[in-house]
Amino acid sequence: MSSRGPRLPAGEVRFARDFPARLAALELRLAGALLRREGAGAGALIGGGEDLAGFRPYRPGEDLRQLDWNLLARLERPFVRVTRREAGERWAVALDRSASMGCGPPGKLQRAAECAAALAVLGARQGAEVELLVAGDEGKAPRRFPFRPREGTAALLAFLESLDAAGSAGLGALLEAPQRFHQAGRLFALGDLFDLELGQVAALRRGGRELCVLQLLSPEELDPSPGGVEWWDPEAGERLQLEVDGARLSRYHEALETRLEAWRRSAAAHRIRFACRSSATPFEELVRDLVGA
Amino acid sequence: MGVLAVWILERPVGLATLALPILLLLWARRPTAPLRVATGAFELWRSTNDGDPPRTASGARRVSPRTWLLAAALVAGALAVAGPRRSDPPPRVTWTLELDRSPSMYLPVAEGAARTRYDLALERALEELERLDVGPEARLWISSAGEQARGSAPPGAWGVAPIVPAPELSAGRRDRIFISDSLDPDQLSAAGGVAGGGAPVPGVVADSGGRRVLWDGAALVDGGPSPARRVRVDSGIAGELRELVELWCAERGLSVLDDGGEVALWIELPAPADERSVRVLAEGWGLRGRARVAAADGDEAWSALDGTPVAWSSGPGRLRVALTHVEAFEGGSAALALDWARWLDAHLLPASDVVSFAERQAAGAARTWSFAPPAAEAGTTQAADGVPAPAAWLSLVALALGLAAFAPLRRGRSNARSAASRA
Repeated sequence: MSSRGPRLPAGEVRFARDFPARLAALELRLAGALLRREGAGAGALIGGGEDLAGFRPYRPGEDLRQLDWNLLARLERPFVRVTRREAGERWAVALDRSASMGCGPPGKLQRAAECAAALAVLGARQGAEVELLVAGDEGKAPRRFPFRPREGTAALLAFLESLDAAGSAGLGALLEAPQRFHQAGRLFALGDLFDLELGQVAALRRGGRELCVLQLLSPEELDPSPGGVEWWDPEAGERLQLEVDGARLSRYHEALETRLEAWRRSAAAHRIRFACRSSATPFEELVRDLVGA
Repeated sequence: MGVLAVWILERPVGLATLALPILLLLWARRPTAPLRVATGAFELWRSTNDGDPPRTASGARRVSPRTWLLAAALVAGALAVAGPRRSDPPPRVTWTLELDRSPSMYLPVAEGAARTRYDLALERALEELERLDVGPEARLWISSAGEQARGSAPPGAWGVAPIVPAPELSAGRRDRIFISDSLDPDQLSAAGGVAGGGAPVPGVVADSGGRRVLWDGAALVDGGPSPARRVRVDSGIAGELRELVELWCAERGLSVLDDGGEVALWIELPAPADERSVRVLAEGWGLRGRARVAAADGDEAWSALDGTPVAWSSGPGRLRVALTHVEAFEGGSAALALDWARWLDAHLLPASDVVSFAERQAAGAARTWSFAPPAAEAGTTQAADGVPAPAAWLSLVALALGLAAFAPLRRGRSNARSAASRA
């Protein structure tokens, strides 16, 4: 919690009672989709394995090298082998927990934590080693949480609930050291991206790493209400009193759209999966966007 | 002022409830600290100030239309509570002031004095009217000579003795104020009155048979020969009629003039105009002749068979005769002479200085009998019946405004509910 201003409206992470059930349901729904997607995934992945996961019908245009000739001979129908590429793969989920993530409601940190939990569970189901990284307190090293499926999700959720939105170190500080993720075949970056430069993210794409970036903005950031408002920067502690009228709203939307458009273009250029969503969006929908299911 | 003056409040204390809408509006516009919102897009907001001086958030809230409606409903309700109603218009009262214009009123208040009894009596009456705060519009002046006028005072011409002496007042009516030099209290009954009083004024009391009778203050004495009095007869009037007038003048001791000078009677010929043959038939006499065609501007004495007026009075001491030629008389000439002599006698003005003995007597001391306010005229004090009181209308307006103020609120809530259910 920032000590430079009033209490953040949504600075803490608290999972609802039904969250584990929703998480399990999402895992079931997305597992099959992910399995199908893996076969057509990118090739040269760092630490990638080739464990056979199963078979599925052949689709025209697919690489014939994946065709299982034995099944074709026996069944006279074409099937391709589905490999579990993540066997031995590492997923990294970088979570922004800077003070600005406490804006809301719904809280951006809360929604990001829910997504992180879902990604961890999904990754583990795919056989990947999943590690969550969040920026540490001021001057301290990032906090890491390696998710171990055998221990269940309770520890994962407890770790996430221990987080609060504080400080000014966000994704920018976390991603400025690419070596932290050198073993990760997939990197998920969750945050509001206000402290992140495009070049920083593009650099992480090197080595064939699959990069998924989710920008979470509060409803008030996406669609501010008109009227007299004192805007407060929870990270710098600055304040700005403004009469938000139609003209000012228009200028704000223009500036925001310019920034988002730059992100979209850069993401497309570097083959980065990018989405900007409201923190009011259910985490299931956000996760589907992230994994492309 | 006139419009406001007809409204009164039955419960003026009820106006205190006007404080409610005022408090409501003050509350609605209470200054507040701007809404503080944490945002990660702080720099974007800062950028909206580029090239534009920063505007601070205003401290006063915007009053919603619903609040205005509610305030208006409260104002209407407060006015209804105060119970406004049209005040009954002040009753229309007319003070009828009957003024004596008989000869005694124009005698000086004392021998040799400049002011007359008329001046004195009128002055006292006006003082009394001022004391009773009787407005000019409520004063109706009636003279004993038969004139009427409204206003703060009677016309100034009434201050001069009429050419034809007016009769004395008969102060018998209850609803009048009598103004004279002397009044009989028994005659006044319940009516008000002002008696101006006055000292005895010796002088000529009669003029008859070529001699005058003088009252010297103690006894009646011979006043010497009567002064010559004259009658003017315009030339052009039918010679037969002129001869008749000259005979009448000789009988009365009057001299006849053709023009000029102060006269006791003036027999005029109307202005030149077309003439026509006329035939006049009166009681016992008649004539045929020619007459100028003119409209009678007074009491008509005789007219021709075709309706053309031939003789009429045009004012005190003034007669008009339109006959220019008499071709023939019909009937008895004595009857004609008698009729004309009576007519001439009736219009002969008396000598101006002759005032009857009784009027020259002392009028006594000045006195005022209380003026009782006359009764209001019927139909001037009743308000319209069957019309709902303004308070009822105001209550309805307040109710309608109140419903209008809350209707959008209910619609807004239902919208919010439906939006939530859709989500």
